[in-house]
Amino acid sequence: MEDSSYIVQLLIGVFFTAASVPLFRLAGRSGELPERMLGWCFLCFGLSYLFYETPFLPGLEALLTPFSFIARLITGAGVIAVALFTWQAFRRDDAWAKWLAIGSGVSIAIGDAMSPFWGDWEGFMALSNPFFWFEWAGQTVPLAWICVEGFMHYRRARKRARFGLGDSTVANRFFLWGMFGLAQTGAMLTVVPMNIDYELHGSFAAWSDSLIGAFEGLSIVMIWLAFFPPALYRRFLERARAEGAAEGSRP
Amino acid sequence: VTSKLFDFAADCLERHSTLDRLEARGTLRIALKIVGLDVKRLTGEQMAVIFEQVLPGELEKRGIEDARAICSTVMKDVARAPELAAADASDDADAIFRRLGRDS
Repeated sequence: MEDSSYIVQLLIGVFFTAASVPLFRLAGRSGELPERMLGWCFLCFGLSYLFYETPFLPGLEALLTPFSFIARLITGAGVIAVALFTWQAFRRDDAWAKWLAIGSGVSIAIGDAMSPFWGDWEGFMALSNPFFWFEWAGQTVPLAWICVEGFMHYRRARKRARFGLGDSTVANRFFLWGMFGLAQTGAMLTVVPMNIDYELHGSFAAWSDSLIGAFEGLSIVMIWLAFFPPALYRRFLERARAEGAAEGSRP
Repeated sequence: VTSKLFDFAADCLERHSTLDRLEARGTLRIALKIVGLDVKRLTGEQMAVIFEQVLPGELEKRGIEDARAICSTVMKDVARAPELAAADASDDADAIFRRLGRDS
């Protein structure tokens, strides 16, 4: 890990953990599953960062292997939660979506359970641990699914907004959610050459560290704008909506 | 799987026009796609937009005469069956994402 980049990673963990709180509060009020699942996803992602990065603090190096394994388990739980969210929010009526969510969970569980038998507690050994790929596929597919559903619903929501149905702010939220999925998928794709490089040379290449950092940064910004938009962004959306409405009413 | 409201509206469209069952359902599906709606979950408001703004043009394109009058008749039939729209009005992605942004 480069210099003190673990501090940035810890802050990302704190962000995700904090982002889960209002979602759990919302779930408590509404009693609905989607916000509860999203809350669990963010909480798990946040905690996994904390477990991954804590051993990089001075004097805690000995915790690297156990904490990495715990972080993997928590990350897997977070991805299962987001797969359940996607199924419930976008494809509740589709049996294939239910099986995709379940299949992803099973794949992650197999990967996590079997990797230690190959001596790969940290989940880094893409070349010598065949079960690395179970975990990787089980995590990558739901994240790519987020991306596909986000952009697909963004396109549909924009069409609806043109006919006075729906809300352009919600359409924008679908777009941001799709971008979050894209960033997460990008990070998962980067993990493959990064881990292969690690297994071959014993260290992570700086380029892959930077690329994953960029994807993580993009993810944070998307979540912030989508679910906790600052006043400036809300004003920007309002202005865009007003301009769109004026354009639509022109003869 | 299609919504009950879709099935009902397609049946009405078939009954009041010269379209056969397949044509009526197909034309209605095309109209839904133009507006970006899901055939599995529809509300009365969405159906009204379809029959007022989109379907008259789509029927005219297919050589159906009195398209606007047909759409108006179908809408009256649909309005008499509010329970069908209510059955479809469960939480969709729009409602979930609106809630996530507004309340959290």
